[in-house]
Amino acid sequence: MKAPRPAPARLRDAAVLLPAIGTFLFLPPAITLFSGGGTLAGVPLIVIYLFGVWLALIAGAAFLARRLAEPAPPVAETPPADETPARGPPG
Amino acid sequence: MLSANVVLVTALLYVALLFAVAFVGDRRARTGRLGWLQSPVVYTLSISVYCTSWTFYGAVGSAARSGLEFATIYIGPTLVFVGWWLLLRKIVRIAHTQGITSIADMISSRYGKSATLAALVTLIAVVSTTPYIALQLKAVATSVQVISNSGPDTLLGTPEAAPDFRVGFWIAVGMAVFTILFGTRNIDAKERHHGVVAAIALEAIVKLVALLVVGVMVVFGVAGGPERIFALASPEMLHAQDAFGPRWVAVIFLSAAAVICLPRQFQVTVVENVDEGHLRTAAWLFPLYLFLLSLFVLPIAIAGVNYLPAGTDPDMFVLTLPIWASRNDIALLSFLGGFSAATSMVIVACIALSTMISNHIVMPVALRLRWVSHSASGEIRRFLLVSRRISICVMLFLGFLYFRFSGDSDALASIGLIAFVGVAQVLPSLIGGLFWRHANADGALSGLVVGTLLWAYTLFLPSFGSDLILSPQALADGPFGFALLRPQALFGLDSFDPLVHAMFWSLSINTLLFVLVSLWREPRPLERLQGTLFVDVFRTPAATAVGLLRRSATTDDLRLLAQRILGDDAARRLFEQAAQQQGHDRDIPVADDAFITQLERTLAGSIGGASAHAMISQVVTGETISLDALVRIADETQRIREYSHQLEQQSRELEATARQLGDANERLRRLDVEKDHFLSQVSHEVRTPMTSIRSFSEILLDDRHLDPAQRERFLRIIHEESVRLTRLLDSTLDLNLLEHGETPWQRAAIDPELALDNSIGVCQGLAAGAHVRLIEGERARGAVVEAEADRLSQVFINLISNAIKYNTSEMPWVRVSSRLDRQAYEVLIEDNGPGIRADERELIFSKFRRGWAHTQTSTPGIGLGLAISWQIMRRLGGSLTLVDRIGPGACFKVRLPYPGAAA
Repeated sequence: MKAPRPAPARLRDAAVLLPAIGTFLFLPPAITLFSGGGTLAGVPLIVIYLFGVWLALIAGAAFLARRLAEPAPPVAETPPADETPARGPPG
Repeated sequence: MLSANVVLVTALLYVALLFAVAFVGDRRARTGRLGWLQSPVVYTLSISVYCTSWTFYGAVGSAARSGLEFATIYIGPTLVFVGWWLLLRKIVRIAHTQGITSIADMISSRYGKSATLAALVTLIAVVSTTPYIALQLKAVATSVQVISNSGPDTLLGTPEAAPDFRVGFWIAVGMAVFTILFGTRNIDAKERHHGVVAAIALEAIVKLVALLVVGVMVVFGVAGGPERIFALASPEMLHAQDAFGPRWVAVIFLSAAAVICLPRQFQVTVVENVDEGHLRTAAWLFPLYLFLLSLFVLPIAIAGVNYLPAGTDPDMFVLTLPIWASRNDIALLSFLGGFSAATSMVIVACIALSTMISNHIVMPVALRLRWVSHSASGEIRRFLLVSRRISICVMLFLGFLYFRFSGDSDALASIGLIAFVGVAQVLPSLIGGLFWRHANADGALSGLVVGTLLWAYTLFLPSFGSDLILSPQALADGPFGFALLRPQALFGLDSFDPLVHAMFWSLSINTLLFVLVSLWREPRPLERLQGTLFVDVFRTPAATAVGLLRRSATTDDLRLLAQRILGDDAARRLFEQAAQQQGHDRDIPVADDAFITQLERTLAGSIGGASAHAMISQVVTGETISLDALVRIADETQRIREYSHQLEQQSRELEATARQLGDANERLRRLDVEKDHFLSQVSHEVRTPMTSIRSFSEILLDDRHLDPAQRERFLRIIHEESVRLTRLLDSTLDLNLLEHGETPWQRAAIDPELALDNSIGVCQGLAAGAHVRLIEGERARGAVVEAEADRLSQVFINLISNAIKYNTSEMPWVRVSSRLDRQAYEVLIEDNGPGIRADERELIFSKFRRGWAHTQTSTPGIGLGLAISWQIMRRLGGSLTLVDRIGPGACFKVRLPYPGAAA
């Protein structure tokens, strides 16, 4: 059993970036690139594109969710100001 | 064609199954065997309450009418869940630490536990949810009629007569019973309803399976493959060219907002969440659920448009296609799917709303009007349960009324998106509250009020149709003819779809006011505190938050309060637990800040943050917020300053260490140089006598004809030199022993004057030989010191003989005197010789230094005497110093402390 470690920074960045990428791909103008018509194996290209991006996002989220360990303990996310022992109100 | 009886029996059996599942779930939860109830899959399935009958039937209808637009309703939530790390994780964490019970509670807790905000959000939720419930009732009633209709126009999917309100009514009653039974069994501290969640999860599976089965039947059974189906679709049907306009963007945004802000979504995603880790599964599993649900929507729509007769209601394709294909089993499954979608939405929405109504509207009013007695135990708990049950009934009754009076108009069809815009008004305050510390209650309140009014004016009221509230004339030309105020073209913005138009005005003005008012006004201390706890939830350890609020109360008052709200048993358990944590053997905890905060959180889990705070405030005195503590955790600059202060301190320590190391190194180098110097001095000192011994012995060996007198003279020189050599080596050894000697000296209490007398006596001869007058100065008799007499004499003799030997004065004298002060015995040895040169003073106690090197005397010393004396005095605990003074000659001072006194 490995002790849960805070997720590496690049994974956390990727988790933040994933919905942004999805938004970009789902919104015009990116999506209009594929709305011109045309088919792939009988299915309209835009349908393939829409559901393809969707599935890719799900796969990305599944991958990241698996890799992102338990949320980092508060101490690891902050400068060690939190480590000062005396925290209660004075007096 | 199915008979109405078959449909009813199936529906009743299905409902019985749901009751059974909920019952088993509830029982398992209460006996602590949560098991699969707590699995992330069940959690994810319960989130799919997002997909109502509006989705189940309406998505296909939407696809038939406007192509791909149906997908927007699912893309928004997909983006939110894929981005769980950013938003949902934070909301869930906050809800866990603060004991949040609903979206209204979340907003109110964030903004200083404001009861006004909570009531306002509750009101928005009720207003936008009631028509939504009506829509579900209508969908179920219609589907029952469609599937059991044996007339020739079955396939049209439109009932021949008005909707059957009786079916709608009994469904409403059934749902009320279910919700009351499993949704208001207890007021749990965490507002979790495991039985309901289990039933919802089952319903989620049923609706997904139903839609998938219909889809597979259409694509592979009827059409014979995906390419065949899409070959049937006209290019116009996909609306691919004009689908991706402002409405596309707007609906994606709205659905993303709705999946967070809808009361029922907040209930299942945040409040019913038992483990933050479940979000990680839901992050991809819920989008996958939506993906699968959407997969066959387009093919079903295409098939419906092509196979079913013209004029068929597209919203009922899911039901009419299996009937057309003579697959009654699939039709029945599809009916159950739609039924599941509708009932799960109504149940969860009713639970969420009843919690909100009882906590944020009924409770504050009851507290103010003193409806609840202040003494009876469990009184508030019973009152809350009753008020929740009544709110559920009222909600469903309102929904039914709404359905009854607008059932045959089209007003209900678009209520889904209208409700989305309504609840999206909460979004600016929610997101702002999560990430912006300065956001405050006044900002949230003004944004919410104005945004909601704009929403009602531009979208909600016009949706009622022509003759309710807004007249057709007012709709077309604006109220009282003010064209600028036309509800669907406010301020002349008339080029957009009404939905986009309403969303633009309500949300932009809402956000603007929220930001501006928040900037303009300073948050109150409690808002600031809550803001910090929310925004910095990942940085602030839970323990830090305790004690920020300083209050005092008597344990008895608190116990009474807890009993009124939680009931006797729960209150006793809570107090015993707290007492245990505090480490008392009695079961009465001390009412300290931490305990009051903990109690408030527990109460908040039952009655909401604002009411809990209000009730606690009734029994506590002197509520103050510890500003120091708040500033310490709140202020980013303070954090950084503290951090850099620590760094500074560390670097100072490092510097000090480095300096010490440098000093030590320097000392070592000096010692090394000294040692080299010493060695070369010793070699030099040894070499001189050795050379003379060698040369004289060589002469004696070579020249056999030396006269005896000369031979004797040479031999004497050799003897003297070897004696000198021996003395030198002895001294060196002596000094070495003194410097590093481990052998302890036998110190005894002696009279130092005796040693001094003895030394003077020894030196008398030397003085006479050198014609030096040895003067005895004042003497202080009677001192007792701890020393070794011989060693002390050695020092005195060395000093006196030096003074005699190197005195080159015309009238040489040496004076020896002694005196006592309070701590030590001192001996002064003065002479009138040449003295010590200023640049030599520092070094005369070093080895091989002859302080008198500049004097021309015939008796060179070996240069170790003073060094040895200095070492002896050091080891005796005293000191040997050269006294600074003006005038000729030198004066040495020997100082020996009395036993027990400091040197």
